[in-house]
Amino acid sequence: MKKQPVFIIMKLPILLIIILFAEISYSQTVTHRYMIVRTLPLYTLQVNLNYNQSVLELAGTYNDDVHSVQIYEGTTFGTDKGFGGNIVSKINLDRRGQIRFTQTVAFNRILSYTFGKKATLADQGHANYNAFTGALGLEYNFTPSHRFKIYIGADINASIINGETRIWFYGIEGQLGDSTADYNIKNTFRMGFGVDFGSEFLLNSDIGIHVAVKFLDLNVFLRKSEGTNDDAEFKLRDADSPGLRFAGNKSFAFYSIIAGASFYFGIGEKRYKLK
Amino acid sequence: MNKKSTALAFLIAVLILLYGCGGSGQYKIEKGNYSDTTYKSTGAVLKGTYKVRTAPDFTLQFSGGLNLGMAELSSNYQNIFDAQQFVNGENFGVKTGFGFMLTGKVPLHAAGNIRLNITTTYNRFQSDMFTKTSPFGRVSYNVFAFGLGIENSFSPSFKLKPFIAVEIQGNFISGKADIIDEAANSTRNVKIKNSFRIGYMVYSGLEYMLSNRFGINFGLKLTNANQVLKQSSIDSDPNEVSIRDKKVDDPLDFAGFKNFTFTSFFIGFNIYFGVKDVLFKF
Repeated sequence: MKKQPVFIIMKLPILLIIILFAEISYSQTVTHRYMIVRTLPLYTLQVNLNYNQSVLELAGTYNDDVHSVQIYEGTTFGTDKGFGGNIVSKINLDRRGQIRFTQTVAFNRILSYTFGKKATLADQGHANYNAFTGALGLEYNFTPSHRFKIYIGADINASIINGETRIWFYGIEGQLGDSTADYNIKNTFRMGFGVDFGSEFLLNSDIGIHVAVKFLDLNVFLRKSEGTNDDAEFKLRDADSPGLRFAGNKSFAFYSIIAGASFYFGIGEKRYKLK
Repeated sequence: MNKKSTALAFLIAVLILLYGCGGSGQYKIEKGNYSDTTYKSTGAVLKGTYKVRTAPDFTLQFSGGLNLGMAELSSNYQNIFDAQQFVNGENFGVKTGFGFMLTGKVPLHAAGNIRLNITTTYNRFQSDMFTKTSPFGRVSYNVFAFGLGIENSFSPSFKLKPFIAVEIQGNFISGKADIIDEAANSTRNVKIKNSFRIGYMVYSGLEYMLSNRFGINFGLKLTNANQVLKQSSIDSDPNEVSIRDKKVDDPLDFAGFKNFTFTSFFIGFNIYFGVKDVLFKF
């Protein structure tokens, strides 16, 4: 039987109301709140630049000026500041990622006058050193799954240290002239330790930035002073040896202020639905 | 320090303070409608809550530690005091010391990241600390300082609160020296009068809350106590002198360009006020 057009027109508002309710019902679907937590990185690689400040016997530029006599007598190494770079690899040793095994390769150059020599300074001497260092250590990460990661670490290091120094002989062994002499410090192997305190800040799940402060003493072990006073080229003289020039018990210690980039591998996300 | 260096130092300080500012980022809250994760039960009982704390309204921090001198505060001569270097004004004649610091921290906004720090410190340096007795004498210094600065607490509502801070300090430096002349068999006793200098302190460390009221802290501090107002004045009594830390052209005992700069490793405790718990339920 054919339906009347009036009947169809009467049913139309009912259909519209049903569609409208369906739409409202759809738009009222509950939206949940989620807490999103980042998983810890499985592996971290850092590339850094260092600014170095020498301490203990590595420091020897009082009044902004090097003191040749102190280098010559073996009291100090005669440096002040320096710069360098390092690459650090970090591998998790536990499931929570708090303990990490670190491997480091570093180069540091430490000089008497890093930012140039002032014209008014008297001493014409200087001392510059290069240190190529490899280190193995452990790190404790306080916040491994946070975007902001804080850690302390310590490592044992092995270094090849070389350099050169110029001695200004004014006032040394009774001399009053402006004569100078150059000496070469040959590649010397030493072992030491480092302790650091730093933080990493994740920019995203792949890359972050990094700042730290590290104290390094590169010649705690294997100190030695060899050769004669006639040598113009000799190995690092960092142990007491009475009568031998440049020899004296000296720490090759400095602070590094470190900044660089971190590359993260294996970071995921976990969602927790909040009630 | 010229204007360029000052501007650069200021920029670096601001960047350091802003580094990581705004929270530790362990989690973020997001709205959405994700299907539940399916997993095979291991039988482990999951923790259904996550507790954080509000930032403290006020923190009182007490810490103490060992100091290691740098630049002219790091005297080097066979690990003992060298009177000649000291009299020539090459260095202050000391290398190591100890100190204490009391800091009040007031948050400057509701989240509690940026805090105003008001600090008082005492530091002492001795030429015969951790070293052999020198046949040339000894020297010691006392430094009382009052400082005002800004701190960034990276995670003010968490148990573990890393922080970094910078401060401007007013320092009162005094001391005394006994200079032995072995040849003449005499000792010169010199009093270093209270000298006022302005310096700075940069420090970073961790606070760890043991409860909502009490916590511990440790960190590393760099201080330069005489960045500004260096001078080498001629005193009426040659054995009662000011700190004499500025280069002078005419020979003057103890005078030379010298920075009273050192690093400190500190450890201590914190007392917190106004910390409340906030609980998230899963």
